[in-house]
Amino acid sequence: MSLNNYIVDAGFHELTLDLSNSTDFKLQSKKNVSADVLVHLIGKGQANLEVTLEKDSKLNLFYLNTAEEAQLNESYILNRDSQLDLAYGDFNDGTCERNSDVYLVENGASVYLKSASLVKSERRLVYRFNHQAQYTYGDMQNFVVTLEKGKLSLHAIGKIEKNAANSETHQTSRVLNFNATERASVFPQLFIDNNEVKASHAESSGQVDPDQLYYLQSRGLSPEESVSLIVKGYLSSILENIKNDEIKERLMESIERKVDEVCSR
Amino acid sequence: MNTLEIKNLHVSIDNKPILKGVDLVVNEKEVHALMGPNGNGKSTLLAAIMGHPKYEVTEGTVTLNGENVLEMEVNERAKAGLFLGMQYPQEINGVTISDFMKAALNTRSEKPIPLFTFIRSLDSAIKKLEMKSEMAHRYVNEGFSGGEKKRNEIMQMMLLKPKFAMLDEIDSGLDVDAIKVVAKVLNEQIESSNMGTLIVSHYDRFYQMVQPTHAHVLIDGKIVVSGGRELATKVDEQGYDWLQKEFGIEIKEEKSEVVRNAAGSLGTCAVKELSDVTQ
Repeated sequence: MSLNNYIVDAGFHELTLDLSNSTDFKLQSKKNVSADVLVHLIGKGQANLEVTLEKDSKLNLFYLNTAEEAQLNESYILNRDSQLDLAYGDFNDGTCERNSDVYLVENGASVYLKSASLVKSERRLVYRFNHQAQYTYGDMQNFVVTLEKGKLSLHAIGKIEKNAANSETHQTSRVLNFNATERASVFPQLFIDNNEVKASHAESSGQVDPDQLYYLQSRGLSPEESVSLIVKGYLSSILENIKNDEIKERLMESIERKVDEVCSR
Repeated sequence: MNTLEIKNLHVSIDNKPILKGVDLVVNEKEVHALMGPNGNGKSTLLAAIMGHPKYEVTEGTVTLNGENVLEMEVNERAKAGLFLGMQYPQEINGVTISDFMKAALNTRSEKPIPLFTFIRSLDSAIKKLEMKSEMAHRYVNEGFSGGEKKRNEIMQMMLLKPKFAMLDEIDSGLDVDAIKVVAKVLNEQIESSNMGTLIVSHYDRFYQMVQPTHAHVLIDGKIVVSGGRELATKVDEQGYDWLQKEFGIEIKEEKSEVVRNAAGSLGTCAVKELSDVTQ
């Protein structure tokens, strides 16, 4: 078992995490810095991840998951006025189980989570925001595409504790199904222990809109090309927070490649 | 010579007959104005030619240069040279106009269009239509105003260079200046590529700018009168009541359409502007 400790400075960092070497992984952002970290998840196995954001730091953390099989336990500790932009691109073929716990432990901490999942096998995702201090903010947006044999359960949880007055927690989950036999279950949950808060949730699920398909086809795109374009657009929502154009383009390419692979079958 | 030929076309929606035998021949370079009160089948005709899945052809034929269009998938019709500028274009979140058009052009050619060539022709189309240059990077129709949606349809027509363009109320939602811009682009394309055009519009001012070579009135699923440019003017001046007197044709107008227009949509606005212009 190896233990990785990273203290991130300002700027861009790229890491590869091979789950086959059953890893514990710690990442810490320095005070006052703004950093972007891209983590490639590969291999097959289990990992515990612990990420700490020091006071006034801003961390943009993007996971690109192409692991064969992944079992992930993640916790994020957000100190005073820190901001975490968390993005998950789950484009792996294998099973994936993730418990992601975000702890907003000091005043003014905020988290923006975006996840995109292309579900081809069994996947269980739990995203939990724990608001433990005042004026904390959480927003979660999940985009799911289920494909043949895909099975997903997604728990989206917002928890505001008694002492976390003036906090907000919001979540949206959208599921796109490819045919009626695929299964996706979304469980939104809000636990609110304080009256001075704002909270919201929204869910939708459906198939690809036939009018959108007709529109794209009327310009010459085949049904497969049309679906692939719609899915790419849908999943690329997770790239919105990424400021670096080069990284953005690379990630877009990897989404496109994966979607093309799936849609051309 | 490119020819789009429609013979005895019958079309139903949810088993309700809408078109009851339409005959129409459009040759290259010709501009056909298709008129008639709302709810009589104008949009249905265009959508059925393009292949909208909701419209069921129960009888008749549509051929493009002798090839059976009705046997083609929607995308094959587009690749064969048909284009429909839609009345209500779809919004597609997350897909930029640039990506959409790149895909639409690439699917038509053996090898991908060089990026530079593509960007140049997209920019030029956007500029000609007097749209903002960032338009290319906006999501398809998302958050567009009515006018922007219509210009975007014309922009696609410019890039895809169809043999036949069908334009469904492309001028509603556009102000007078924008209509001029669209008409200019349309005339240029007819001139440069011999495109044949089938236009549905309620307003004579568009027909003044894009001079139709032919005009038709569609009532209750049939073309009841055909003529030249003068027919479009007559309809604009006198409405459709004279058809009843001259030909004994009963006019019916779909009430819901009228109500929708009256409820402050672009149609009403345009009528007002038109009367301002003529005064």
